[in-house]
Amino acid sequence: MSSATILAPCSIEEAADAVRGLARERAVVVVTGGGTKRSWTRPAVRVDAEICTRALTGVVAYEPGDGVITALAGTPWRELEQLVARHGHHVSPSVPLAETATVGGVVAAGQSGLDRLRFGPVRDHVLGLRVVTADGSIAKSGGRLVKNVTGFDLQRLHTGAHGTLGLVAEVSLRLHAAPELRGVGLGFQPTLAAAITLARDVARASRMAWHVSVSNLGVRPGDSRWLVQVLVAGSAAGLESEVEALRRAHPELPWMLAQPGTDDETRVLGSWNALHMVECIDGSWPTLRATCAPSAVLRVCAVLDAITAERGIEARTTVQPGLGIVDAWIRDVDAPRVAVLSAALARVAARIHWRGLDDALRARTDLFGSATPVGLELMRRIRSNLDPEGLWACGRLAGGL
Amino acid sequence: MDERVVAELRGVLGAAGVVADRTRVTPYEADGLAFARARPDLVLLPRDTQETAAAMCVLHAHAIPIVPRGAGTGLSGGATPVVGGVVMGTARMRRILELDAENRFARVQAGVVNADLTTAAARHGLFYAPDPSSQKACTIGGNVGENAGGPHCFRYGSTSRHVLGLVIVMPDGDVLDLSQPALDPHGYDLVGSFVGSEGLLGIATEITVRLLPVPAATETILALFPSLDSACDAVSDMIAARLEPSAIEILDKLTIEAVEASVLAAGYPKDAEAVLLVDVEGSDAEVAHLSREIGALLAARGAFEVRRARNPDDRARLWAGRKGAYGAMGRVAPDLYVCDAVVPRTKLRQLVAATIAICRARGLRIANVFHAGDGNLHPNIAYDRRNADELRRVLEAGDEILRVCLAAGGSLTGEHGIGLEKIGVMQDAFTPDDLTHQCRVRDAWDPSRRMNPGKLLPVHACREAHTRDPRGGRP
Repeated sequence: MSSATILAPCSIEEAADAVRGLARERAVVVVTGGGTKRSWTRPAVRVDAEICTRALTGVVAYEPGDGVITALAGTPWRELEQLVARHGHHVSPSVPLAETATVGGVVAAGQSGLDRLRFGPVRDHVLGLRVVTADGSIAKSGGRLVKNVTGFDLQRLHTGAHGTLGLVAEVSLRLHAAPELRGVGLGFQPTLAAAITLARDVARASRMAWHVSVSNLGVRPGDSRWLVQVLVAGSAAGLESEVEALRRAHPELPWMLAQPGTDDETRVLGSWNALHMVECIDGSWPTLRATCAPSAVLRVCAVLDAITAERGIEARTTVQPGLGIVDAWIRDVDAPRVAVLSAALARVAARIHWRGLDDALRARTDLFGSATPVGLELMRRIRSNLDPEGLWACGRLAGGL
Repeated sequence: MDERVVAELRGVLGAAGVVADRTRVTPYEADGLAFARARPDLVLLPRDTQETAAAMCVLHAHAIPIVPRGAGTGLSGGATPVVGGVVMGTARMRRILELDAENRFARVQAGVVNADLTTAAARHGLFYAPDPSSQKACTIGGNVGENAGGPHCFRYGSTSRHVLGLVIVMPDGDVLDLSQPALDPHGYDLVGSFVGSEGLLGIATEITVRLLPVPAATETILALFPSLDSACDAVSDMIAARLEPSAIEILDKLTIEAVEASVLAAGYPKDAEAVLLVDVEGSDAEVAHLSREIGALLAARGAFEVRRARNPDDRARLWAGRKGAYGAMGRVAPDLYVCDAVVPRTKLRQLVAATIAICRARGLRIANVFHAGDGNLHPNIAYDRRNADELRRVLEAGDEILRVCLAAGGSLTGEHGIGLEKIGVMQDAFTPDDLTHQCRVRDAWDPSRRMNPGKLLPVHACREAHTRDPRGGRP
């Protein structure tokens, strides 16, 4: 079998057939979607074949009155967003490159979105899955209901497993009410500490903030200020009163509410989209994501600042203090720089994760820091029980999973 | 049980940690599924993770089955003992280990009572969201085992959305410390897949949970309806209109009568066929706006009276009937079989009607108190367990209700779990391939299959059950 073997099944049954055929040939298989999160994992140790889900598309069930949608893995995320928006729903996560990113890919990669502060991680929205297992059978877990505890929650096991435990073929997701009104708060602060304090206070006080961050990404060299960005959305009555309260508490942060159909709406939507665009520059600026307790972000930033200054590394930073996320955008990355940054941040952050490194670097680098995941032996047993013959390509995740 | 094993267990747990006396073991013979009973050989009550681990090592060495137990309030027989096994209770693990108001989480021992955690968090302006009806007795560990829900899970989600970390004692006594809260799992989501595993994978001894800020304002809306159908339709309309209150509950006439005849009387008029309770939260303006919208919708659906309350005492009075419903039902019959099923929210009216028809056809009295906003039905069937024929009809009706809900796209349980009670209908909800998938995951955690045997997974349904070495090795 050549390494170029790519199968693109059009139905779950075809996907199961493909898996059975590949299992008979003892092939090692990787599952791909739109490829937008390819750089989130290490290259597999060995791959004989690829099952691409891009032809496995379509909405299987959507009853707007139930607030649940079920779609096949290859359905573009944008298609889902647009369909549910027509019925007044929002589907979380709000992800960049939504035209290319697929439903299966978002779930398999455990990709949380720009709206995480408001709606939580993607694993909270996955109500049910159908998965093609390594022996080519089709296994369901969960269902198409907003509340359901029947059987083990295997949705959470497969979410974020990057297809190393099975091919996520169909996903049921919980939907939320689409916002009536959106707004944005944008303001500069002279120091990182001041910006983080402001952002954290807003994130803690707000019920309608979808995203609160502090960044020096767009700031010109020599300018030491930090931009605080707050995206809020919700019912008109709730949002107007909340923004009014935030204005009173933090007069230094200017706000704009997007009345539908006005120029303001264009500007507000522009700010939202700009945050998505930022995530798309990862080709030239790989990202080191460090996550920690919300109270520890400043300490992580201090370590990052010290190490980049000491080594002469050009970096930009985006911090989400409400969640405990520090994204460092690094210019001119090479293996020694990856190693030194990983080692420094791993000492102060709970987790680190490199995204956007090129293939050669990913092959030589531990994207997740050197720490072994707690429970690795158990994870290996789960993997081996679900895939005894080693069909799914390994070596891509933390701990060599 | 072999006296040498008992002595070994006393050695690691102390005399107070090993209950063998017949009278003291009796309360552990059943949980909330009162008609299912069995006598365990021993009840073990460790005080912490280390003692639990030491006891689990002894049990592992002697291949003894283990049934984990919190407060025993579960309704699906998840804590029903197995003959020849032990019950591992968390009753002596009641400490709140850490409460971090700044980062909004708490780390607690498994036996901490759900309501006690919210009480402790309240002084920081925080609360713990899952609020099962039994919250004054049930434990956080038990909530983790069952992925417990409650009225306010309509907005906040069930337990799994609130668990950030766990310390788990594995079936062989190993300790898996997944307690460091992290935004996303490192590797596979072991914590997420453990929640709701009904004691089949190990015992959680410490739990880290998310705490949420108490909203600025909360209003309770109580609406009285001339029929149960119109109350159900009002809920379906609220969901379709994408209104987002924090709880939507329905009580039917039999429940109202029982409540009003009891010391828990909440002042519900007896001419109402159904009561709808809705909580709305947020800023003052948000609450006022949402409350207006909901009020208009309720009126359009025929509510003949709408009461509102904002201050905590008045709100508590409106909720009193809901909170006391199960206790009050004791006036109707000595026993109550609390069914638990979920249905699509567009089909509430027809499926609630179906549950009533199923019970009436068998001469049974049914009361409905349920989490309408989630489509989580709780048909409660009043019976007397001493009447064997009545018990048979109750169980038959319970199975029929589940089958009807499944056929309509529903599920077997929304928050009570499968346990012993529903193991016989798992094969109606899942194919052999689905169940095999679950068995394989269970076998990775517990290759010996000693954890809560006979619950959740119908062993004969798993393709590999008869071909695999029970100790977990491949044939």
